[in-house]
Amino acid sequence: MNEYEYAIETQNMNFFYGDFQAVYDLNMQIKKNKVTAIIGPSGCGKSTALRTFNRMNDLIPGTRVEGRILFRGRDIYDPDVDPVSLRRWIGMVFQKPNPFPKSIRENILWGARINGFEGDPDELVENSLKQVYLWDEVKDKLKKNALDLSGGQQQRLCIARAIAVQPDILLMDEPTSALDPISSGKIEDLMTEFKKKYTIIVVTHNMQQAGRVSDETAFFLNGYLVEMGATRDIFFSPKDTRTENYISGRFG
Amino acid sequence: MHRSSFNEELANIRTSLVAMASRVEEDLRKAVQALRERDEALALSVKESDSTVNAMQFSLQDTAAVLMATQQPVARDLRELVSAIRLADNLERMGDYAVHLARTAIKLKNAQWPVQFSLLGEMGERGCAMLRAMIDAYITQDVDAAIACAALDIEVDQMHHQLMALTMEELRTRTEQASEAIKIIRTSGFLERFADHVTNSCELVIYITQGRHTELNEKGN
Repeated sequence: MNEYEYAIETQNMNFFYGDFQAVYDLNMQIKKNKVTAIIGPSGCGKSTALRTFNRMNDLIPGTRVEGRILFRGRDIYDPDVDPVSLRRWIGMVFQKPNPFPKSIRENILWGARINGFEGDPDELVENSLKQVYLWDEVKDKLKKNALDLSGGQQQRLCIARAIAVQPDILLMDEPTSALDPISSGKIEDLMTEFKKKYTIIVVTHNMQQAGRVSDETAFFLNGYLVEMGATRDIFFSPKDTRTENYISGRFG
Repeated sequence: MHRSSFNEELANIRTSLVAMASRVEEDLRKAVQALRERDEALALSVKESDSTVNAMQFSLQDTAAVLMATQQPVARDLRELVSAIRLADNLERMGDYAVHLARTAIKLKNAQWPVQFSLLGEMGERGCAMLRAMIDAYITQDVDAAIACAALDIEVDQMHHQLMALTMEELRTRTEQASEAIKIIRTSGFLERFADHVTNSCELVIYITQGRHTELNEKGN
């Protein structure tokens, strides 16, 4: 496991989509084995920042990063870092569930195999699905196509897929926006449970969700990190007026 | 279990309230003993307990407020948190009254008012019994038990009136001890207030459980 002080941290990070600057001078430290929520109004740079943590933005043409992002003591943008293997250590779950158009079983095994998994595949599939409380629902239909599952089930499968390769960090970009309240609740419970094993960073536009599940909260506005701290402090007595106005629902 | 951490934190608030109440009950019990046995050291220990009781109140209230801010409770959960803040206030005042009795025990260490001291001791004991009963009703969410507990307040009121009447009568022939008599009457008033705060707390137990406001011990309730 990671013996460095923070799960991941940025130093003077600036991010550009072509000429447009989306993130300004970001200095952010993510604590290990905590849930950190990133909140802020639409267009504030929170999803952009999240996607820099596992270099998902590399897949978008014209993007540029300045500054450093340190994971396990190294800058993840070093030329000799392989972004694909980075994404094994820093997994991601998206707003719209995106299981592979394969069987449930294959969804779990595919990533593991690519990362050199040599253990018992059935055991891996069962353990991963049990961790997301999906095993009982699908154990008799593992060969079924993942796209036949409900939205909530698909999202839990995507989470199982991400943890099957035992990442350090799980990035979640609005993981429950597309789900009904009950499914959302189940995923929130998972976040609370998973922080024992992983570090969770979740971008959410649902402030109440951030309040419920996170230990730390970071508030972004117009590309800047305005304030970051313990969730109970941010929600009870934030230091910055802009933070207070946002969480009180006065804008955004 | 869904929202397990919220349920855990709610349980912690309940535990904290019970702990605070237990402490206040113990303080009042010690104050009564200090008065009866003219034990100055015991009385001082009650005075020292006050800062701990206050700290418990602040901690409890902040925790309840943070829980409301981060968890958006509704219905019974919300009533419970809102009431926890008010219960902590009540308990803090009751703690102050216990301290007041302790102070009286010290100031009147050498005074001779046997009937009054006996009554004050009894009122204190009733207060302790009421507080224990209120906490039981709170833990078990028992409305009937809360109502029964509040009914004990009537006796405390009666003792207070009895004490005042006796003291004022006695004062006619003991004019040099007027200041002692005044201290005694004030203390009696504070112990009567102690019981009132327990009654108010019983009303809060009903509010948490049933969502309605009551005025226990008023005519017609």
